Amino acid sequence: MPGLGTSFGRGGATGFQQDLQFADCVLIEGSSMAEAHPVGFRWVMKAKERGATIIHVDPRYSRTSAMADMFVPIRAGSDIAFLGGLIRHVIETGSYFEEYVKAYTNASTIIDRRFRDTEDLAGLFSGFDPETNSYDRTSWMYEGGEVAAAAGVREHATQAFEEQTGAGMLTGPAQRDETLQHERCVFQIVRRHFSRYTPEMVERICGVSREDFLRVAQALVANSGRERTTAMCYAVGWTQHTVGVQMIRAAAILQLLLGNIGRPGGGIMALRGHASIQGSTDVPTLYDLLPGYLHMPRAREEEQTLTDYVESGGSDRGWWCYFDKYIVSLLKAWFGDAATAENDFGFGHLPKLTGNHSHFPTMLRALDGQLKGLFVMGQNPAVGSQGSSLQRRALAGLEWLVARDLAEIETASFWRDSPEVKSGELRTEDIQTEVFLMPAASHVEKAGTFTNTQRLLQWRDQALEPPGDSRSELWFMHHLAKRVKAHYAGSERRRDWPIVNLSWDYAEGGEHEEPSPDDVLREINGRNCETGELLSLFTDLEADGSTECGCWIYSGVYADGINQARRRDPGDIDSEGGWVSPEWGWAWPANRRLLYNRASADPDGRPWSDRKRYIWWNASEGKWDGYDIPDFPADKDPGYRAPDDADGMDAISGDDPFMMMADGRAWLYSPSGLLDGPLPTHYEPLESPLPNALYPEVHGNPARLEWERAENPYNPVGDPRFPLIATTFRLTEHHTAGGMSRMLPWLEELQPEMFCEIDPLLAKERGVEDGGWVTISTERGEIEARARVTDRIRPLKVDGRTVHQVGLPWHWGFAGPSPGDAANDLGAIAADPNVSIQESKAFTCDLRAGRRAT
Amino acid sequence: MKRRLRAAVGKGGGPAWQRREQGQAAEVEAHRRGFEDAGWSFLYGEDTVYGAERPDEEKVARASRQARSGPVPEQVLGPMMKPAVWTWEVPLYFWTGGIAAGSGFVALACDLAGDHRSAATARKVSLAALAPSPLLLISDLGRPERFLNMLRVFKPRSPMSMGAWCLTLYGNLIAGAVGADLLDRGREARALGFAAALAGGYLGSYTGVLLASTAVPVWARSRLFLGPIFVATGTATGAAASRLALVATGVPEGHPTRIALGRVETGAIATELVLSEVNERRLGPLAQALEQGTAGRLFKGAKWAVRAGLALRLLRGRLGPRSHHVASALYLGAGLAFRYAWVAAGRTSARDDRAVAETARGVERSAAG
Amino acid sequence: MSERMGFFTDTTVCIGCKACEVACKQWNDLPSDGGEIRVGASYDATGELSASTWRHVRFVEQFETPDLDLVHWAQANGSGRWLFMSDVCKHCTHAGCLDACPTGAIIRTEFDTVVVQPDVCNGCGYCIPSCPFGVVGRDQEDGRAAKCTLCYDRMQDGLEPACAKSCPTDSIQFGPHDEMVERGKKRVRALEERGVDRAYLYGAADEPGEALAGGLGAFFLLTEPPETYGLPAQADSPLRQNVLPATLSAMAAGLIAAAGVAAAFALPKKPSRGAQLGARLSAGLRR
Ligand SMILES: Nc1nc2c(c(=O)[nH]1)N[C@H]1C(S)=C(S)[C@@H](COP(=O)(O)OP(=O)(O)OC[C@H]3O[C@@H](n4cnc5c(=O)[nH]c(N)nc54)[C@H](O)[C@@H]3O)O[C@H]1N2
Ligand SMILES: Nc1nc2c(c(=O)[nH]1)N[C@H]1C(S)=C(S)[C@@H](COP(=O)(O)OP(=O)(O)OC[C@H]3O[C@@H](n4cnc5c(=O)[nH]c(N)nc54)[C@H](O)[C@@H]3O)O[C@H]1N2
Ligand code: SF4
Ligand code: SF4
Ligand code: SF4
Ligand code: SF4
Ligand code: SF4
Ligand SMILES: [Mo]
Repeated sequence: MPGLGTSFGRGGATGFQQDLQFADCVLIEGSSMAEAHPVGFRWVMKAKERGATIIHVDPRYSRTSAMADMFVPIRAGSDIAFLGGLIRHVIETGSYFEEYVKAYTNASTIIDRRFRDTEDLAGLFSGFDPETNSYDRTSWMYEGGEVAAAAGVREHATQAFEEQTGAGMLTGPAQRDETLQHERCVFQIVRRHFSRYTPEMVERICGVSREDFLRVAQALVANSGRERTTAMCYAVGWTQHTVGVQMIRAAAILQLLLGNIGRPGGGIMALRGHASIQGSTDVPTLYDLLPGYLHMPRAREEEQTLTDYVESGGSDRGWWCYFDKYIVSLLKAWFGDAATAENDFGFGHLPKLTGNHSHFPTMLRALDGQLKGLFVMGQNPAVGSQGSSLQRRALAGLEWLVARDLAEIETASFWRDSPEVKSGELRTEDIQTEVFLMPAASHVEKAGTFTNTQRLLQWRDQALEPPGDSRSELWFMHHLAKRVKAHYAGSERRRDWPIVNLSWDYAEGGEHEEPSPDDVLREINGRNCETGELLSLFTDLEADGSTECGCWIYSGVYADGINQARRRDPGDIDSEGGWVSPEWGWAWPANRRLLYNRASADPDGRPWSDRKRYIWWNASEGKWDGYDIPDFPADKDPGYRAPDDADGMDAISGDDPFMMMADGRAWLYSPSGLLDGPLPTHYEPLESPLPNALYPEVHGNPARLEWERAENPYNPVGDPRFPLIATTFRLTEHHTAGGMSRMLPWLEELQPEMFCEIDPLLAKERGVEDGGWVTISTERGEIEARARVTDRIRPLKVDGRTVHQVGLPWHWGFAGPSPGDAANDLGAIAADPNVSIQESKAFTCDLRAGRRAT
Repeated sequence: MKRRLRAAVGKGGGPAWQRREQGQAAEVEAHRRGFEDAGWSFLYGEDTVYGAERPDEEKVARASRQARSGPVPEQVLGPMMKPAVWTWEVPLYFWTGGIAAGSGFVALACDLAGDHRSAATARKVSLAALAPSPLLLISDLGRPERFLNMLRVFKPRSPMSMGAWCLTLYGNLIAGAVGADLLDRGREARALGFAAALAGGYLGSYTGVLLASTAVPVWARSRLFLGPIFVATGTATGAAASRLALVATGVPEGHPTRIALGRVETGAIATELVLSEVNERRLGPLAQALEQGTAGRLFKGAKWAVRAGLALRLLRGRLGPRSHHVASALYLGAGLAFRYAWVAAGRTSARDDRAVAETARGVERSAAG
Repeated sequence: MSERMGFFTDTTVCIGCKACEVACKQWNDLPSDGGEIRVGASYDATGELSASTWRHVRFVEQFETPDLDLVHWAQANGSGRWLFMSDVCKHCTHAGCLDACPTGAIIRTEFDTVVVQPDVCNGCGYCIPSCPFGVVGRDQEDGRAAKCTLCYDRMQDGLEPACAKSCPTDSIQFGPHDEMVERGKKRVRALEERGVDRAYLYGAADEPGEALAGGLGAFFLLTEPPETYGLPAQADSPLRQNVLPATLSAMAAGLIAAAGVAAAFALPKKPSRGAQLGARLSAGLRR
């Protein structure tokens, strides 16, 4: 998640949920935490019981709002304006945490004189190329050097891929003005950038009353500083927008100004989704990343050799200076003895990226018949993916499809019972796709680890044998790999080298030759190639090929030959610092629970306040003490000052808490790493009934990804046919596309039918009764749902207009005991440029009483 | 608090097969006995304000008193309670049981009046009426095969239990009596009949008590009337049935017993009419359950039947004895309708959330006063 | 008999997640009731406690509909609330169901909880209208009455009931009854200090005369009048209240009836006055 990565250095949540109990204020925005993370939400409840103020900002009054002290209704997709307003308030009222901001952020850093802000260019930053709808970001750089972002798009993941990035080395020390007065210093740029975001502007854009806005602002300010901390929680209410990453950036800037990062009860809690979705970005299922956030090499001159790759990926300051150790150890883990210094450890044999291969472009290729086959494992795009009806048509264009799932989900049965087939648009006999539905073992039927939302790896023992032909993912991959290897065995062809030399030796056993997940975890942890002894941390990694490691950030999970992820000792949770429970599971990196925790102490290493102590410098023993493992070199003296010519970790001074960053500081302003601007700017969603009140010349995110075509039409801005704003949400009772809940009688009965939440005024206007049928339509199509007329969702006054919002749960599909229309049939495929996440939280639609035609 | 977990299948940290190969036990240790897990609360502790302070007892009690007294609030969220699940068999049994008990009285009276022949007939009527009763009850059970469990315990506080016992007792006595009649064992027959009549006193009334002892507003609020009403109906229908039986068995017109029975049925049914009217009045709004819907229709029907019956009795001289038989039949019908009406009324009343709420708040007033 | 165990369900921390409802169905292997969206019932699709639903989460929406000139929610919000309440068998001290049961199927356990023995119940259905809280029900297919057992089977193993175990916010707290009551009292006080003045315990800590059904083994902390959650403001075992008076009046009636019958026979054996009157009438008509 580059939003966090380009601000602090790592993409993961900055803290852990248990820590929320020590927040003095919790702002939940872009998430319905109580509904989607009910178990984690208990810590918010505890904070409340300890006197904290809970604020929920959401288009709908949800079960989370019911628990909050303050609920603020907001127009879907307008959060940057709201957060921008808060940033402005904090700066203008001088209520930012000055010492923190000066010492730990890049506020004082001076930016290249070529840089132009949206204020100067009416909504665009310097370097925009209208041809490619992308930015040349060289002008965004620090004065006197270029910085590589620690995470995010140090290389391109997307459309704008061909374009050169600014990623490079910080050639010298950053130019700074500690007084923050220099007109080109970050602080002043940020100040100017957000000067437009007045409470009046917030009211105009978000429909949030001035009173509400100020109540929130005051709560945040009153609960931040030396003595108090405020935490923020968000999830996909923020990410699923064409400006999603920048929404998170805005939150990061606000939290940095308030001095809430790296401190107990503070931070930004990114609430991740599926039980191990964090794990699937760490050891990625993403096309453009290798394990441990190493970028996938590009099919480009600059990356033909390992050295080149390390050049472009690494940084000779900050944590990424060990880039070579990580990639070499990874290659050793993959190619074993075949990986030698002579052959670049097989680097040349890695596939190289040629463009954007994320979900949507891939499915669009399928739609055009350019995709032969597809493995769908643990996904249900026929319901869950934006433009689901397009997705189903795309599936129909495949030659073969392997779906591994617990139930016969829509993605496996589309050829038989999809709406397209029922409407006659597709005919089963015409669909050539050969579908292999393979029963999957569920999480209780197999052992392994989950990496949860707080980067915590928790090992799960197997409770039962999977029934019938159900098999684990591991089993499937393992045996598939073995067969492929057998097929290519002995091949001399160069292109077969990676398969032939792929080291694949996991213990097998049981009646089904189940591979050992334990072996896999050991490989991920890493070993010494000679002795085979397990590494205790990534600091043991070597670039000379003497170590192998499947994912450097996970190195240490098997330290001392003990499966650390399986530990279940909460310790004495009531003791001082007991809530950290360092012996419950294992968190990456190095079992640190609260990231950047060096920032919990002042530059001299003393806790900012006794109330908020977490780690501190123990001068007598010359080491960092505290409740958690320091996210900092354990013995680096706060007084240490990096000499200008230093590189590696030596370039990180003793008061630079954000050691993943080349300059050791958190970024209020992101000189590189993001494709759509160094600072967040309010842009309207791709589909919106309103013009952009902030920058009338620019409507949506100028760098957004679009795939407009006949099958994926967009509702024109302000189109009177689609006056309503639709937003989608989850229900506690169901899980995502429903494969795990709609098929289960006990859950299905709790929310038995697809519905939509509308306000009483709209209902009156359209002659809709509670419980009656309505049809919701967009350019993409129509769906029907039962109406839930409720005061929980209310019309807003936005820019003098009354705006009605329609809330759509998106859990239903056409299969299973309680079939219903899929909300995603309505959505358009358009995405954030940085991470290609679809905009499913804000689009326009219309609504009428009655059921749909077909 | 430390937790140790042992895998259900296989060794901790490893996949199942490994451990099974190493032949290890697979006992789960995920929980701790003696409610130790339950003891811990993430919320309730020294560091939260979740009830740290000792409260002032009086205040707590007062808070509850305030919330639970006074008028019923605007918002009443149903359903407040459940109606009885009984189907048609039960009211039908109430009727037959009533007839059985009623004709039991009649038999006793005849004996006392010295008309043993009529007494025997009345006993036969009683037995005939009683015979289907257990079958009706059993067929209403969710688990008919378990009907004997009704006699598993003797439970004075449960009218249903007492009723079951009483029904059994009465059945045996009346059957014995009829048997004795058939064997011309006059004295035994009379003795058994006498005992039966005593049991009949409860048999004819407990059904009313049974309804009155539930939480259903219209029944519970009629607790002092249901018994009497049911007795009255029982007596009336019993007398009517016996009377018709006597007629059928050729007891001549003007026979004192026929005349007496005529008085009994008329008196009893009239009483039932009066009691119902009075009860309905005093029930106030609750009576809606009796006046609306199915119950309402049945009640009206029953009342008209009674009135018609009474009219026929008045015009007997004009229309001749036959009209009296019709009247008796009408009483029987009315009795049946009354039973169905009461059961139906219970359903309506239990589903009337506001009524339930109001009745509940009423409980307090009567308790206080 | 070991000490009384019970539930303290604190509605102020309930997030309406229904985990309790599901956990109960799973542990007790109860059937799903299917269901459909219920008009005006908010997120509640289950409807009520029944033979197949032993925990049931109620949803109460309390908002004032915005007037047409669109007041901002800010103003209306103050008055807006969404209440969740996880309902269950109260395990009454004076249990109507238990008093009513003619087969002795319903018993009081060593934990002072009220349990239906499925192997004894014959489905007479008398317990159903005898529960003032509308808890126990009879299953159509199965024919027997069923309700919450307070996880008798788990308790015998020293395990917390399934619903309480699954509750993420400890809205359902389980333990020795008197401890629970203590905790409840403190909670009322704590809320009062936080300005939640309407908080009170439903079914515990009452003055003896005012106890609900003699005191509830599973009691609740509520912030609105009971009826708002579908609970009666006052309740007791209806049998305790009614059996005696009803029986007495019935018996009295029985005696009077007997007397009446006897009298009818005792009266002079000539056509009833009614009949004479009828005769005279008809005579008059003839003239
Ligand atoms: N019970 C349950 N839990 C789940 C899941 C589930 O399906 N069911 N899914 C899991 C997964 S995969 C994920 S990613 C997480 C997601 O967790 P959440 O993000 O919390 O889930 P959502 O309900 O999709 O979205 C949260 C809220 O965002 C609001 N929202 C929509 N648009 C906007 C906006 O523009 N601005 C703001 N401020 N709010 C907006 C919606 O009204 C909704 O209340 O949940 C996980 N947990
Ligand atoms: N409109 C709208 N659309 C959205 C969202 C939204 O908020 N609004 N949210 C988006 C988000 S955040 C997400 S994460 C996606 C999720 O969308 P998908 O991932 O497509 O949908 P899921 O239902 O989560 O698919 C998971 C499937 O994996 C199966 N499964 C479970 N366990 C296993 C296992 O062990 N092995 C295998 N092989 N299969 C298993 C389940 O049965 C289920 O069918 O939806 C996205 N789509
Ligand atoms: S479903 Fe699992 S991950 Fe989600 S809240 Fe419940 S326990 Fe946590
Ligand atoms: S609540 Fe009803 S079912 Fe539960 S014990 Fe009390 S009377 Fe019996
Ligand atoms: S239905 Fe079963 S539990 Fe209920 S009263 Fe009858 S026998 Fe007892
Ligand atoms: S105690 Fe057990 S039976 Fe009762 S509601 Fe909870 S889970 Fe269900
Ligand atoms: S599990 Fe707890 S929080 Fe969830 S609905 Fe039940 S009582 Fe409420
Ligand atoms: Mo997700």
